[in-house]
Amino acid sequence: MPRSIRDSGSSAPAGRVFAAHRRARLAKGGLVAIGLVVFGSGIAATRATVAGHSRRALRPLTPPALFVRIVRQDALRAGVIMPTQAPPSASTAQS
Amino acid sequence: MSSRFSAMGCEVCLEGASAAVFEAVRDLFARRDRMFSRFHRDSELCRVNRSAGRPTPVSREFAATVRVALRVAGATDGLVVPTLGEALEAAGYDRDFGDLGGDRGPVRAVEPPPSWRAIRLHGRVLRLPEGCQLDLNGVVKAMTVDAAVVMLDGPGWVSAGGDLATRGGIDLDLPGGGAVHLATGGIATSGQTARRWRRGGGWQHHLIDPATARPARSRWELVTAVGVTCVDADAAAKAAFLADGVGPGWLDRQGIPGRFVSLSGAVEQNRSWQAQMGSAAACT
Repeated sequence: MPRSIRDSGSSAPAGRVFAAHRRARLAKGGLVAIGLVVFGSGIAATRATVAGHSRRALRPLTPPALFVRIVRQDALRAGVIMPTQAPPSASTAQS
Repeated sequence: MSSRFSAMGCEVCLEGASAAVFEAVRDLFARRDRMFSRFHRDSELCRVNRSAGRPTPVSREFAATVRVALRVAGATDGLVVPTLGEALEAAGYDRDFGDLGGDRGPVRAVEPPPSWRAIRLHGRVLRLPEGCQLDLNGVVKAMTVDAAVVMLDGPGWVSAGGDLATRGGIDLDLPGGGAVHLATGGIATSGQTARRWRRGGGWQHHLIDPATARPARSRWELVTAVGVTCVDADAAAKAAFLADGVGPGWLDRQGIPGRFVSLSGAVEQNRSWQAQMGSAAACT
């Protein structure tokens, strides 16, 4: 007939029980920590990648700076002037 | 032989126009004046301004003008914008320039206008943001000068106020002294001493700073700029005036010649102006 551990009365089985309890506590702690890490990573990955879940400030799509510069140069283009070649025949006002 | 008439609150001069072209140009100015006037309640501009906040169908010509005005706003980093109708009225420019008369009380305070970027134009459907009142006068005048010079039969020029465009080149005197040969394109001068009026005990002028919605404070009395078209020249001159001390450098970055006359009368030419005048002199 098997004896219960509590009935054993010897110190060696009590030490094994204590060690087993300690391993169990460590295992539970480890499992909880892993669970938290997995859960946190999942939330972060979801917020970063799933449309509509981003908490970062939205950034408008911007064209490359070179493109903007070229368009701007094209928008205002310089005329051509040179020193007068004859007495001026007209004058400009200001507006 | 030059011919002239009055339109858009200024004198329009033509050189090299036949009688038929003169009539056509006068009709063009008159039609655009009616369409874009802030002072005629039945103008298309007033109709559009009354419908701010909701989509409004506009004519093809109106849409094209708004498109140019938005291009100018972008090219000038938001210095020359079409959203200053309310600010101009608040400063006292609420009727034809010739009818402004003497001081008619204090300047009305207004908030800075909505951003020009909030204007939506899809084809011929325009939507202004709430509270936005367009003023397209500057762009319209320059565009009309550009259109008129194309109508000339041969070499000649067209000027309206401070805007001038040429075909075939012209030697001309500049405001504030000096002279230049404009080989091609347009030249425009904007300043604070010609189109001004008294209000609230002080002088007001039509060059509004979009950041404050008030007539701009600038160290320049007037700025002259040269563009491939009159629209480009006018936009560049206004932007350089509004940019104040950095105006010459700003024009240089665009490669546009600019001539600045300060309030004390001192004349400053930016590097692009000096380069063009210098290189041309070196070639002759």
